[in-house]
Amino acid sequence: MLGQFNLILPEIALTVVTLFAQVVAVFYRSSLRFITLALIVALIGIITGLLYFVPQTEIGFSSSFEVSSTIHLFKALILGLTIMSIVLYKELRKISNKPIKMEFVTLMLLSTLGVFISISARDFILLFCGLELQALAGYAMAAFNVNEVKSSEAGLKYFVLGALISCLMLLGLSFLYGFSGSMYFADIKTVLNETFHMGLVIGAILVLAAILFKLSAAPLHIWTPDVYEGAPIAAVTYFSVAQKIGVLVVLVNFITLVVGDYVRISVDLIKIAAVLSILIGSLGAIMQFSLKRLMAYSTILNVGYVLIAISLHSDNGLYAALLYMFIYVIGTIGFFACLIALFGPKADTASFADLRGIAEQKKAIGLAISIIMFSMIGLPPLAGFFGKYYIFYNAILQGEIFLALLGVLTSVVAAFYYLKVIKYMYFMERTEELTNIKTNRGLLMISVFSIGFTLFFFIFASSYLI
Amino acid sequence: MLDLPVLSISILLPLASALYITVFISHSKSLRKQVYAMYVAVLSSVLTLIATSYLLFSFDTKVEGFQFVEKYSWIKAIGLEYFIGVDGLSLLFVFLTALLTLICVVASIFTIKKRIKEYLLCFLLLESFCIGTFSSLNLLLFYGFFEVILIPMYIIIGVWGGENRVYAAMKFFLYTFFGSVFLLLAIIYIYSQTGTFNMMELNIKLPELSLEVQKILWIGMFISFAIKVPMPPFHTWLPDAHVQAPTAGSVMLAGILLKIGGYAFIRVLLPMLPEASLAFAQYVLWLSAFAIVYGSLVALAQTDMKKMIAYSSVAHMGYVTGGIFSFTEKGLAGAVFQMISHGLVSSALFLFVGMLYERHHTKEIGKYGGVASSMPLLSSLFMITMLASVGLPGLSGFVGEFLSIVGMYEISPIIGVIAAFGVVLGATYMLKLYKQVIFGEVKDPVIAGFNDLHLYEKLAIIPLVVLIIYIGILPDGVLRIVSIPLTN
Repeated sequence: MLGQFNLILPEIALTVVTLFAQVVAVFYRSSLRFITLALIVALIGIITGLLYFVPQTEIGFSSSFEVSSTIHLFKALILGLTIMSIVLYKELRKISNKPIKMEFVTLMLLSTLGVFISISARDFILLFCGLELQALAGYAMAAFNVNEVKSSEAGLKYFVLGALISCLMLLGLSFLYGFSGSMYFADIKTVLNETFHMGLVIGAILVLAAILFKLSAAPLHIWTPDVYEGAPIAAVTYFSVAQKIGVLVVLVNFITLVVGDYVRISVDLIKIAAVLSILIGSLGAIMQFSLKRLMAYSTILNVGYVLIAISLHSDNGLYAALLYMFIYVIGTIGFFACLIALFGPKADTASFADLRGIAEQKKAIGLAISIIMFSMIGLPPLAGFFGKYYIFYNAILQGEIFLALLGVLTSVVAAFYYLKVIKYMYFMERTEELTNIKTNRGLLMISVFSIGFTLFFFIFASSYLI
Repeated sequence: MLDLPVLSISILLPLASALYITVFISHSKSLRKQVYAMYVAVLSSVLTLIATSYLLFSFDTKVEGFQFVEKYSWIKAIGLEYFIGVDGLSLLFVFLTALLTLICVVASIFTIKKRIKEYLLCFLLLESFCIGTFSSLNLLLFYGFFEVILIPMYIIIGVWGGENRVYAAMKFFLYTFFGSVFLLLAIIYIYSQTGTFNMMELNIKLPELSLEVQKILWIGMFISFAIKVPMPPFHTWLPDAHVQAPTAGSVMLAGILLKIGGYAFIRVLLPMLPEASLAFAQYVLWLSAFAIVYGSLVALAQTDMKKMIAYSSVAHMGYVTGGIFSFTEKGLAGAVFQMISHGLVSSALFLFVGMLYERHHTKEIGKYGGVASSMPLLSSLFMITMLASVGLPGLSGFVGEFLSIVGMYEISPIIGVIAAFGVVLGATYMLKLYKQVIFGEVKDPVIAGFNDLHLYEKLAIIPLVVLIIYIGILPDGVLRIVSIPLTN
């Protein structure tokens, strides 16, 4: 008789598998590669379980933990993206001829556990715990290359700012509790939408700030470029892929389940964040040299587009936001996979200059990166176009022509720096030899998946655009 | 009669051969592979040309509306459907695209030294996308093709272009992309108001919108198409792109890409937003007159052959926009004719410049002189083309310029007079170019040693010159094909 433990079976399974793999890894140091592989297989098993046992919408643990088919779908998706990040890490270590550090994988999975908890949470205490777990593991991952100054710096920056924002979130929670007498989403929503008490509003704003911080939306984006630049590339992939989707789901939950129709927050504030993110993301990236910093600004920009869709405050808008984010992260993961396949251990510090003339020697990778870049620019018929189109379409449908105009104009600015990548790869001559890296099966699979999705989205798009 | 979807075939065949070249021809530097890629490209463009000629000859000029229509629903939620078909107007451009692509491929066989496989790939993609643009009857599909053309052209300019190619490629891409985002917003707004992207339905539904809305939509779309045409003041990307692009790239750019702007004016802007078009017609006419005079004057001052022809394109496209916005039957027919003629003439001119460049490695007019002594065939063909560009009666340029000037004159005599004055200016710079390059004393002993046209060069250029003469003498064929779509 499992009772309500049914609801958290995926979380239990994830924890057990992760910790078991970690313990085994301590004792059998020689077969780390095999353990990682077994771990990945076990995780795929969990995904299958998540997708196979589709539950009814059910809420348990004193109504603080909810499961539903949608939530299961997101969990499966996030776990899938986490697995891809693990594969990237594993292959990177293989290319660099170094043993896998199991702790890194464990941290990544614990962070995913945090994401799982936070997207199911219907109660602020649980939400806070989930977000903290996810963030703490993240700080450690950012600082994982202890021998490198940049990595430690990234970890420290991330930690200090993250801790500060967590404090603010706790302050916000105290406000919420103090003025509503409850920690449940549903109760707070009722009180907030009936009384509009200032204390509650302040509380909600502080919580929103914490979520936007983790989503790296402007004006709370400051940590993003530095952390992306310093952190190991596998960690960056994880932050910008699995974690971003998780935090976005948390934001959507927060908007729909807590703030509701209090439009000052759910529309106006989000709109401000969207405009700022778009401007900072598109203009900030122009002068960047490091590819990881470029991706940081690109993330900020695209989070801005996502926020436009959320600020529409409609079901279609939310759907457009999630779809766009999904399309974007699939492109991102393909980009990082290509970077690792090109530069191996040097991918962490790769800059534009390193891309010079790549397309001459590595035609397939050059083509792959170009497809991803054209998709991010938003050229039809690539996936990115449909994502953008769907957001602007909904925006115009709801009369937000200014936001749509700003969005398309900044996408021209963004086109400039995405094109710069292609420009360096195709139009410049290569002067020094490229260290040859053997074709790697794991990276190949990830990039083929990413490119295939980006390129052929238009064929099966009819089932995803509603 | 066979019941094949010929139009789809002419879109998909180049695409399929491009895929074939990418996937199945390994990227070795060996000559055999490159020759193989070349065979595939030539074969594919020949077949596409045959397919489009079949369309041209089995096209019924007496029937109203679109022929060879194919329609499949695709993504219902956003109104996208695979809906293609041609009328007389689009058919001519489809044929022109197929013809010029084949000529480009043939002309580049021996001139492109590096990355020939990717080069052919880009041209095949370009062909497919251009034919797609001209035959789409769904506005979103049209936008998709319109936009994706940027990718191959960007790569063509950036990889195989001249010294300043990177700058030119970036400028080309960003400029046109900037324009097309307005088109995107406009079509999304149109869809949100009407719920359809079907061009025929839009022709009925859109004019019902209020004039204010129509005007805003018109401005959005106009910016996008005017950048493509290009009309001053949106033309500054053109000289850079033309000068830096490789010969065949310039041919496609002048021959096809510029026409997409004019085509879109006639296909999209006029029928969908007639009142707004009328309201703005005066300004566009003045801009066209300005384009004609300004383009000619700037061309007169150029010392670089390609730049001169680029600016002459600005002037010639001025006749096109002027003819279109005169709203007279003659003006429209003249505009279409001028587009076809300019597609042939400027392509041929760029090919000539390319041939001279291959031999002398400079595009400076001052470095040439006395080419006629060593290259009589090139000189005589160049003469015919140059005279067509000037607008000599009996050659293709005359019909288009004459009709569009008549159209402009009917609306506003002053503009007609200015445009006619432009013809004189056009003669000035073209004759000057011809005189300095072909006649005169042999400036450089190298010139005396030039070989006359090679076989592949003859193959590329002679069809163009024949067509220039043919449609100049018998313009009736072209005019009859376009008469029905234009009267509507």
